[in-house]
Order: sequence, then C-alpha cells, then structure tokens
Amino acid sequence: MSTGNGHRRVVITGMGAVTPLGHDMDSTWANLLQGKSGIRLIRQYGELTTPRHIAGQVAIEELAPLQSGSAPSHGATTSLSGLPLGRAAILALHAADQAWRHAHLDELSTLPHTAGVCIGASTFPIVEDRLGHLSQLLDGNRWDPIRYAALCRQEPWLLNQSDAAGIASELSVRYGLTGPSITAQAACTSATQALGHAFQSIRRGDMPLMLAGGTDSMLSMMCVTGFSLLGSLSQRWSEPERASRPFDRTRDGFVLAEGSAMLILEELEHALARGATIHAEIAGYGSSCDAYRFTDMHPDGGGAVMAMRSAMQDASIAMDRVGYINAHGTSTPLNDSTETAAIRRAFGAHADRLAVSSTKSQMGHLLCAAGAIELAVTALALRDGILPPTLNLDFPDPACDLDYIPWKPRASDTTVAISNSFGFGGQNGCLVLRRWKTGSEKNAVAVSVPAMPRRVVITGLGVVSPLGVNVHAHIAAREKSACTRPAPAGIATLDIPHACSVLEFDAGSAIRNRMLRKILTRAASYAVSAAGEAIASAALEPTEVETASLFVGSLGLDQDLDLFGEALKASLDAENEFSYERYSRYGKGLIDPLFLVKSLPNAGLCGTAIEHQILGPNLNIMSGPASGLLAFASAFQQIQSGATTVALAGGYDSTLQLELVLTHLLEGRATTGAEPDRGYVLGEGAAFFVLEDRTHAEARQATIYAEITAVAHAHSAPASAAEGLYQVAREASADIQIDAIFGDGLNLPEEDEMEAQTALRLQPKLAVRSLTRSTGYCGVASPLFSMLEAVLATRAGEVTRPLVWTSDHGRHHVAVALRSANPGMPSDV
Amino acid sequence: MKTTQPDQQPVSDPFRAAMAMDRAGVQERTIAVVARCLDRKPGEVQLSSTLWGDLDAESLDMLDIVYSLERSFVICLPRLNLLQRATDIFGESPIVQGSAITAKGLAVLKASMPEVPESFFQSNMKVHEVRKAVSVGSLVRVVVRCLDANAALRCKVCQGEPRQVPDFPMEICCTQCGAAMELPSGEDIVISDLLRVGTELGIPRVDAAAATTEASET
Repeated sequence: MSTGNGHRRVVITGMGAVTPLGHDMDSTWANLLQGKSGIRLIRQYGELTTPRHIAGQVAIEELAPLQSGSAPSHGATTSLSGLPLGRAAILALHAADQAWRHAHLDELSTLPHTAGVCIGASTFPIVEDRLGHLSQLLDGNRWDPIRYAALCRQEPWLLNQSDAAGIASELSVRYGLTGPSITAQAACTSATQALGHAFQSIRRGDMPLMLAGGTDSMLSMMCVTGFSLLGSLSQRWSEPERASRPFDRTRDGFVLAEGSAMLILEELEHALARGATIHAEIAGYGSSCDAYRFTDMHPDGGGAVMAMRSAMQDASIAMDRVGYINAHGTSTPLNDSTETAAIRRAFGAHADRLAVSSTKSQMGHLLCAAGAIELAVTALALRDGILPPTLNLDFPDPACDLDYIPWKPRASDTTVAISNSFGFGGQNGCLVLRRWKTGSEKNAVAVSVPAMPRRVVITGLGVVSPLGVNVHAHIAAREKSACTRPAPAGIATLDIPHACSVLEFDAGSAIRNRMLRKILTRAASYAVSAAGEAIASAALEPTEVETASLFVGSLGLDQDLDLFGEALKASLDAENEFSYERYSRYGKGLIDPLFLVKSLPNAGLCGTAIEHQILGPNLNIMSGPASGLLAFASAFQQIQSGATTVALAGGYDSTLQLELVLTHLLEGRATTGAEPDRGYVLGEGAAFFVLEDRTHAEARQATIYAEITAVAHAHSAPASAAEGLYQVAREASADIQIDAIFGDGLNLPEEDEMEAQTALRLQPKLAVRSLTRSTGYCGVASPLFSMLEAVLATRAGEVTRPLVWTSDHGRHHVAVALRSANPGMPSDV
Repeated sequence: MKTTQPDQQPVSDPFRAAMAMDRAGVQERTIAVVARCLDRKPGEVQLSSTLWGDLDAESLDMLDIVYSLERSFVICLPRLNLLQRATDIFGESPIVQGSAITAKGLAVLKASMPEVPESFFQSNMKVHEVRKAVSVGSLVRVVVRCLDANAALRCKVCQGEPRQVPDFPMEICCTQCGAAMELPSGEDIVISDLLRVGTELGIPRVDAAAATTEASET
C-alpha cells in the first residue's frame, strides 16, 4: 500500500442500482423525479391475512441477466463456490454489474492490483430458510445441535447466507479486484461508512479505484418482527405509498426496503487518463458517534452536527456553499425532528436557504444500502441540476421547519450537496459531493494534508481472553493453555470436547452503563472492557478520549438462535409444521423485543463509544476473522495521513455460538474428539490498542510500546491464498529485516504449511509464532492476540522488527510491521 | 378483578394465577418487574415513580417492561400510545394542534389516566410531554384492566372460563370444552375505553375512513 502523502481527488465514474423504484439507476432516478413510490404490501408472510406488512421490495426474479465481461460465466444466483446466494448478494451483484459497465471498466486492459471493494452489508440468520425443518430442529425450546449440524451438512448454504462478509469477497473475486475487500457494518450508516472509507483510501493514495456501495434485504419474517417489536416501523398506514412520510407531523416510523447501489470511485488522474465519464466529485467525509443511546438520537443532534461539520471541513468547503441535503429522513418521529435541529445548528442562518429532501419517502429505508443509493441520487441531482422531492408532506410539523422540496422535484444549479446517514447505535456519517463539469479538473481545490506521513505508535493495551480478563492476567497465564477446558454441553454433543471460554468475566463490574449491561452480548461486553483497559493504560485525558477515532472489527453473527426457540415452538401447528398464522398469533409475542438491538453487529463499537464517551470518527469492519487487524490497519492509515491523532482500534468475537461452531466444524477446522490432534479449539475474546501520532505521544510523555511501520491488505480467491499472504507480507515488511513473525498457527496442515512456506520465502530461518494453542481460535480476536504478543515482545526487547499477519480462510490477507519504540532509533519510515 | 373460586384453579396455571391476584399483589409484581428491567432494588421503585423522570427509563426499557409484564401476567398490553390512538379515533385536529394538545385532548388524557395528578395537565402541553406522566401506577392500571378483561372472557362455544394451554405461555383455551381462546387485545381495550371517555366528554368518533382521508389529504 502506498504511503505517499499527495492529495488526490476522488470522482464517481460509474453507478448501478437495484431499488424498489427501478431495476437500474436510470429507472430509479426517473421514477424518483416523477414522484412515484416503491412501497407496496409484501408477501413475506406467505398468503397470510394478518399481520400485513408493507415494504419497498425488488422483484428479484425479473432482473435482467448479468452482462459485464468480468463475470461472464457466473450467474447472479449462485456463488463462485457453487452455493445459492441470498437476496442481498444477488442485489449487490446486479448493482455492481451495472456500475462496472456504466464506468466502462470492461474496456480497461488491466486493473490496478490495489483496486478493491468496500461495501455496507448486514448479517442475520434467515430463520425462514430453517422453518421447513423446524419440527426436527427444535428440542423443546432449544435448537438441537446434532440435528442442526446434520441439516447444515446437507444444505451448506444455510450457514453461507448468514455470512455478509462473503458478498464483498464474491465481488472482489468476480471482478478480479485484489486490493482490500471491506464490509462496513454501522447499521443504517453502513454504506456511507463504506463509501467514506473507500473515498479516504483513494484520496490517501492507497489505490486508484474502488467498487463501493451497499446492499441489504432485511424483509424476512424475523427482520420485520425485530423492527416491528422495537416500534420503529410505520403502522398507521392505510395506503402503503403514504406510509413513509419524512418530516410530516403524522409520520410514525420508517418503511423497510431492500436493494443495492454500487459506485465506482476513482482517483481523478486515473479516471482522466482512461477517458472515463465523471458524474460527480466526492469532496469530503465526516463521521461521528453519538455515544448516547442505542436507538434514540441525542435530542440536540450533536453527533449529526459533528458529522456534517467535519465532512465540510474535510472537503475544505464553506458551509454556505451547500445547496442540497439528501437527508437521512427516515420518517420516524425522533429522527426527522432531530435531523432538522442538527441541520439548523450545523448551518445556522444558511439552513433557511438550502433545500433538503428524503428520498426514503419514495424508496423506503434500504438500511445498509441506504447511504449508497442516496449518494448516487445526490450525484445525479448535481449532474442533472434537479433535486428529488419529499413525498407525503401533508401536515407541517413545527419541529420540522426546513424547505423539504415537497412532492415535486425542483431545478437547481447548486454545486455542493451532502448526504446524511445516522444509524442504530449512534454512528453518523456524512458525504460531501461537488458538481462535476468539463474543466472541473483545472479548478484549484483547497485541502489540508500533512507535509510528511506521521509516525504511529502504540500507547495503550487492553484484552479479554480465555487466558485472562486483562493484560496482566493474560500475560500471567500465557504459558498455560485454555484449550483443555470442557466445552459447554450443547457444543460437547457435537463431539467438540473443549472450548476456550472466557472465565471470571463479570460484566456487572466491568461495565458501568446500565443499558449496556442489559443489551450487550458477552462478546460485545469483552470489547467494551478491553477498550476501557486500553484507554486507561494509555492514560489519555478525557478530552483526548472524546475526540479519538474508533476502529472496531466485529464478529459476523452475534445471535443466539435459541432466542427464537420458544416462539417457533409456539408456531408449530397440529401437524408439527410451522404456521405463519400461529406465529403471528402466539409466537411473536414470545420474542424478546430487544433481540434485534442485542444482535446488532456494531454493538461492540457503539457500546464502547457509549461506555467510554468516544465521539470521534469511527469505522466498524465486519469482514470475517481478519476484521480486527483490518480495523487496526485502518487506524494506522488514518493517523499516518494526518486525519486523526489518537485512535482506539481492536475487535471482538465469540466462535462459541451454534451457527459459528457448525461453520468451523463442517469446514473440518475445529478440533473434535475423533481427531484430537488436528485443528483448533474454539474460543472467544477481545483486544484493543491505543494508536497515536508519535509526536503527540512524546509530547504527553506517554509509554510507547511499539511503533507501527507499515500495513498491507489484499484479497484473493482461496486458491491464490499463498500468493496473497506473501504479497502483504512483502509489502508490509518492504526492505527491512524482520526478526519475528506472529501468525495464525491454526494447526491445520494446509494453512500451517502456507504460513511456513511464506515465512521461508520472505526470509529464511524465521518461524511463525502463534498463541492459538493457548487461547484457542477466537475469530476476530485471535490476530489481535498475535498483535498483543508482538507488541509485548517488542516492548520487552525480545524482538525488534516483528511482522504480524493473518490469512482467514484464504480470502483476506493482512500484515502489520512493528518495530521497537526505542527513541534512539533512527527514523527510516 | 373477578376471582370467584381461585382455590379451585391449579397453581401451575400462571394465567389463572395472575387473574386471581388482588390489587396489592399486582402492584407488588409490577414493581418487581419494573425494578428488574431497570436494574434497581424494588425499594427504589414506588407506585408514584414516573418511568421517564424518576426512574430514568429509556425507550428500550419501556419495550422490555411491557414485554416482561405481558409474560408475567399473561396479558396482551396496548403498544400504540394513548394520544396517537385518540387522534385515530377522534381525528387529528380535535386532539392536537401543531405540537400542542388541545383542551379536549387534555380532557381525554385526564379521564384516561386517573392516577396522574390533575396539576400535570397544563393547558398548551406539548405532545412529547405526555410520556412524562407515565408512572408505575399507570402500568398497574393498565395491567389490572387487562387482567379484568381476561377474567371476563368466556368461551364462544360453551361459555366456559379460559385457562392456559400447558407448555404454551401465551396461549389459552376453554377449561370446559378445550376450544382455543384468544387473549383480549390491549389495543381493543384502549379503543373501547377511549370511546367510553369520548361519549362521556361529548367528543364524537370520526369514522375510520374519514380519519384516514384527513390524514392523507394534502
């Protein structure tokens, strides 16, 4: 990855979309301008009479076949590994196909090897797919692990479709994109985070091109139930088209929708050199965290204000240049009044001169894809000089008193527009677009970039592992192994005798915030606790914590299927078959209304922000086990490029949930009673680090544990894993002589051989060290335990130039190079 | 609450056991549920404690409390807030003007929430201020109302009394003929109570179609 310090401009050269308003970008845009609504009654509940639900649905079976040459032989409904794809993946493939062709990327003879993918996506077990087998899967109120394992062995796609990170991987491989492949998960801000991250990466010079956007389809029974139990959905509708009424006084909730939008973001010179058509320029990105509550926005909208202001500051554009805001505008009572107040606070008197609209009034809420389709729409508004309207604005709300472009589109020659996203959990994002005209490349653009890349050091450590619930206890137990602990009964019945559970962790004393104690899963609680230890060990001032950036790698699926056991059992009819009718009458009422909040994949990040009051920019990465090290690498890049001074980075996971246990078991990776010497013992945990600009750390005389010199991230198909790992190892270690490697050590013949061979290729005589035999395999947390080992060994003077790497299932390959922080050492960064 | 022959009912039927509770029992259990949901000692929760004010509850807590009360008493509580329901029934303009509640709207609230001190309902009160009135006593009132409705329920087939279907927490059936019965809906209870209040106060019901038209006209 380049560590160049020039400032690059980022433009949009292709867009594709599949939405409730149209099967491509053009028809979606045309229908938006015609004031059409894509909201209808949906049939997710079969042919049932009640409860009826409305949503913005895509007729997926009517989509045209994929056309772009990069994926000629593969359809949109089967993955490259031959498994049926879920709706969100299918929608993403279609949107990407359109964007790819729109940008004429098929005509490019070779793609830059650093080009990558960055999308927002959600994860959720699609309980519907299991309903046909319910009577055999349920043992009383619980899922029977043995029968569930047998079913998943037969139907492996059941587990595959819950893996949201797989969508980005599918795109990377299909389009031959070998650079980073990131899935951002920040609830409704996911796509905006993904686009913001892609934008920052291109601007820094990491790569010249990214396929970025979002996809989502949360219209399944359990998703509708989840949002409906939270009271988030509009319920007082009589006509579906009228239900989504942002900023109207009678609004009563949002309307779910599915869809995807993908954009090609390109570095300006790269786009010009290949003669690409430019649709708009991305000028800035702002991100913040409310650090307030999970589902309520802070009434003064402080987090939203910060996101908008920092985005404009990032773009170096005066606030009063903004002519249009594509609002988050969900149609919930609280969001719309709070967003209005936030716009007023951010823009002052100028708020009365700008136009605001919510395209959710027509499309509904595309959740993890919302930020992508809304950015695309904003780009088209600037390009075509016409602003899309807000439908259903009938009754003025005194608390919503801006110009919302009611009902009819409006011509406008505005040159700067922003797109807002605010998510459950309190993550806010804002992207700034500038109109592009021929000759715009000659306009001088003011930017603030550091003259030199900043040096980045580690100044704080925190951990919750099977070895101990803080760094001290973890170190003390390092020579022992947690791998002989007996597994919980449910796991043990699968012939998995051991599990590396975290012992002696008491959320009651580790977490102050009452609501967090109530809703966080154990894994997310580990994150909050480890992050707290890292902050304390760095001895940061409260103001430094408040403005710090937060980068978290989160586990994919944080949900216990047993949560639904009682409800599903109550939904079986006399023939022992699942009955929708019984579900809506008896089952639904037995489901914990907070289950959706409890299983938010960004709960660890938001919990950490709330508990420790961290309000700064943030990114939640949900890209499988490499996510934590990816979060760490992203924090490094942000500090190195001068975008932030202090960052908290880490991750958390628990592989001890049934779905995940089955994944590791069926892939033949988990150690079983039958093969006790092969594979790994499953575990859980979290680790966090404080990363800091070296100058800042030295000025406040912080303890410096190690310096980070380089990071690298690549993605490959599993078949090319060895090349991928070697590539990142080479890139991160550059020309330096490393003296230790901290790797995965999974105790699997192929993986171990790959690590050994890569080490040998890189530099003879280097063995790969790993803690996996002590901690077990703890998913996202494991590569971070490697990092902790490397940092501690560096601090102790045992090694001076270690390399930390991970390669998960042969897809993501990440490497980070450290060196001793000895101040006497000459800088050769 | 009607409890004719409580001793004859099996103790293992939580549905009948809840119906058999006296008011003091309902209060005690409601306080225990609220305390557990808010992670407080029962002594810190009084009947007069307001949820949003005194007890510092968040919207997620309210969902948790309502769900826990339903499970605990085997009842079906209303979800939609009283004011929204009132505007559905009586139309938007008689109840709410701008962001403030009208005099009629206040009269409806007073009559519907007798446990709230009169002084709370000030003229020009804002819509979002209503929730500040909700206390543990308000919850007890609604729970008792739902339990009464449970007790009044009779089998459509044979007029028998209801009991819980063993092993199915929220399902009831007739004690005599075994026919499936349905828990009275909290929403229906609120609607019928509001209609009664409307009649007492002389506020006419807007029929559903008309209310919809009003809500969707530009």
